[in-house]
Amino acid sequence: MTKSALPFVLSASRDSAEPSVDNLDATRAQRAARFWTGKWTGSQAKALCIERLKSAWRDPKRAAEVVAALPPEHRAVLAVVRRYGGGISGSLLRRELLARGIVKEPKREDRLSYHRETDPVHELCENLVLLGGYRDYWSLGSSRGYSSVSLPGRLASHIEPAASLDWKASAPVDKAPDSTVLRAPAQVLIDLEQTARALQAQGKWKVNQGGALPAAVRNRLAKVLPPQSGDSLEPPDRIVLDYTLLCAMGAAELDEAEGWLIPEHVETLANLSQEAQASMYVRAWLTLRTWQDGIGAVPDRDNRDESTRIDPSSMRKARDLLVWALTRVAHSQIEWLDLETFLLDLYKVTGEDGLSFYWHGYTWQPHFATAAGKDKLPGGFERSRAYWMDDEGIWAANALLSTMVHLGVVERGRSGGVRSERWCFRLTEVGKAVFGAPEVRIEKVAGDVKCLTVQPNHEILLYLDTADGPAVTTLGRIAARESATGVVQNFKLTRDSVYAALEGGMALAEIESFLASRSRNGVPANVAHSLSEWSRKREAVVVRSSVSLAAGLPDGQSSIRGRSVGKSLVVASSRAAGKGAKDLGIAVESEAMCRDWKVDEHGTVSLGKTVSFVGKARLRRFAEPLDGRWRITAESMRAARELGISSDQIFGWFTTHMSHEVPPVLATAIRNWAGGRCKAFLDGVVLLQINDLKAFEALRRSERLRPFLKGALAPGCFVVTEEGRKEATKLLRDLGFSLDAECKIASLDD
Amino acid sequence: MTAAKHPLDRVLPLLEPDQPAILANAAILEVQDLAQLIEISRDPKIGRHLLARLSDTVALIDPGAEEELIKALRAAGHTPRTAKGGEP
Repeated sequence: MTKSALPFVLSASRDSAEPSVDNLDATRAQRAARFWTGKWTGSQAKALCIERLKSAWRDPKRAAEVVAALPPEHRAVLAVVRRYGGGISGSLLRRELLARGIVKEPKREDRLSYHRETDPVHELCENLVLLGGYRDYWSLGSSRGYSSVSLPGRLASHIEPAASLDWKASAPVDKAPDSTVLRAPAQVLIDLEQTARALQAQGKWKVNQGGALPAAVRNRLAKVLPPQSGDSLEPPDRIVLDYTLLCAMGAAELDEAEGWLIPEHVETLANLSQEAQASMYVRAWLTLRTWQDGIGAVPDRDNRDESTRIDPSSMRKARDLLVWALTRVAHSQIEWLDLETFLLDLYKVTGEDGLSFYWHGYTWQPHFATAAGKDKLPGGFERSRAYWMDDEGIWAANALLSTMVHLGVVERGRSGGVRSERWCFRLTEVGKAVFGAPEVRIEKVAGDVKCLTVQPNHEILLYLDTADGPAVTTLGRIAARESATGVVQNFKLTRDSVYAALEGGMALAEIESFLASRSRNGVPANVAHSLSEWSRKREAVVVRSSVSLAAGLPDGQSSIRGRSVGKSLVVASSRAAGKGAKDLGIAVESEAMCRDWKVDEHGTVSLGKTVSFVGKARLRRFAEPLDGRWRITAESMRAARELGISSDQIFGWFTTHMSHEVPPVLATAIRNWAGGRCKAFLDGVVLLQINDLKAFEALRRSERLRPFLKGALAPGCFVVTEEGRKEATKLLRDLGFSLDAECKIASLDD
Repeated sequence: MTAAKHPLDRVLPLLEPDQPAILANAAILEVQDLAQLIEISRDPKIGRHLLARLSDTVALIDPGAEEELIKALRAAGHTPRTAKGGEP
């Protein structure tokens, strides 16, 4: 049996915080120095105070003494910060301290008055026991709050983390729901893994600001990913949610213009325990900026005139507080929680300034009784709460019953009919471990679980209730997913899927071993045969790149060692070839060296002194040898065409091997010979040329001449019909034209 | 007597360098037997990316055309193994 040890889900992962004294003013330096080193009768100069402070901080014994001497409520504050890994946001700290009774909400009459606060957090910050969070202790009561604080590393070891808080529901759920929905951890991983696979197939993809996916990329992903599950509460833009989670977990990296997958990070994720995976999902979800619960994909930009999303800092705070409530639920003996009751309790414990933002148009709009008729309620607590339930409450409902269910940490329940519908939820086993960490752990049997059935038709059934990460990712690599819903999912081994796995670096033995160890029924003989046959066929054709080919080597040479592939031909590593080339005095072909073809209009190709063997091999594909040179002819091009060589391919070779332009008439001929025949007319016509453009225009519009004309050839030139030539001559004479002009022809050089 | 013509002489002639030379960063196609090389090189969509025969089972790929060749092979139903470096 193994037990996983997860971190507290809200704990900050950060380097050990150290106090900075550079920005201290003299008063603060004196106060902190007095606190850390005791009374001092010498100089109170700022620099000396800072020196005394630094000296005290270097002394581990002094840190223990300082912690031991703190009043209990100060130590309780430090214990809370320690529970959060040494760093906590101001909003969470305030809720924790209020819930534990360490601080109290200001009385109503104090809210609008200035008074000197005695607050443990502020005192600890002033004395540099906590870092950050310092502000003027004269504050307006109604806006009391903290900024983020952190605990210096040297103090952390002297403080035990605070115990967990529990959750008390104001009204219990008296019976189990009529229907429930939950997603197995393996299903969550399959979706993420398939999204990662689809991203990997894109190579690099374009991104908008903040790494958001452009619509074109989203559409491409949607085409290759399996259809949605049909769950009416499935998160909006589910593919974008999975994408943003992958990015937040470091499985994809981004720069300003593009994103790309880090496949090994996906592999690492898959190899974690299910609860560790879920913990990563939740921690990643807390940080998402371009996907929001109940809204979907949002741009990473804000618009003052038109809202594009909930302000990211408000969203982060709301998510933090919702998760904080769920950590308390995980430490309670509560089975099902009524959604509306939970939200009312959440409002009570997080206050008006807890979850606080404005949005409308969530994809799921549950109707809460406490929000009905909100605008008719009199001003006061109930009215504020009703408005909250109809906005922030609906966001929380979407986050809980849609996003969290999608992440596999919450199970959703529903009771009643259409009009009496009630929603409830509870944490899944994995959810309890995630939100209850580090105290709550789940036990499970170690080792590979048999979670597959391999069928003779090459279909593989994956049982999600028992599948683990490695099973999901390995199956995703070797088989194509055929169904995306249900507890049993279908995959299929195909020649293409196995080929892709082998090309991706898996060995046949790995595939066979995986199927044999994970299949409940072994591997059918015909499936095993298919696997080895597909692998054998792959080995039958090899495309080997990045080799050096040495050709025309002298007999008996031993300078270039490698694999002999033909007479005087050796395939060697680039290092061996480079060394051998020096020893033998052989040139290594380069593109510059190959640029030695000269081609004339007749299609004759002359080569330079050193003939590149790639150049010569290319010439042999479309030209004929002739007296030490090469000639491109209709016949040689016909042969090239039969070999599948196109004119574009030949022009590409010309670009590589020539430093001058291909004579245009030869280029035209090559295109003609390659099949793109250019049409031409060569015959006699009766030409009527009028040198005066006004007269030409007059004749063009004449009804008398029109019956004898075929049309116009160019400005000033008519083509006359053969039959109409006599009549046209007579008409032109009648009209006073002199028909003894010479035909004007432009020079070819003009 | 004249030497018997090789069945691939017209479609994929043997590489005949004029002098000793080394081609760096080259790509080659390896098959299991002559019949397979004949079949592959006679397919114009594949053969257009090959330059010369090195032996009955090895051909030189037109430099820069490896990806196109792999695509053409796959489109024709082959499942070529892709490898890098000189070792088999």
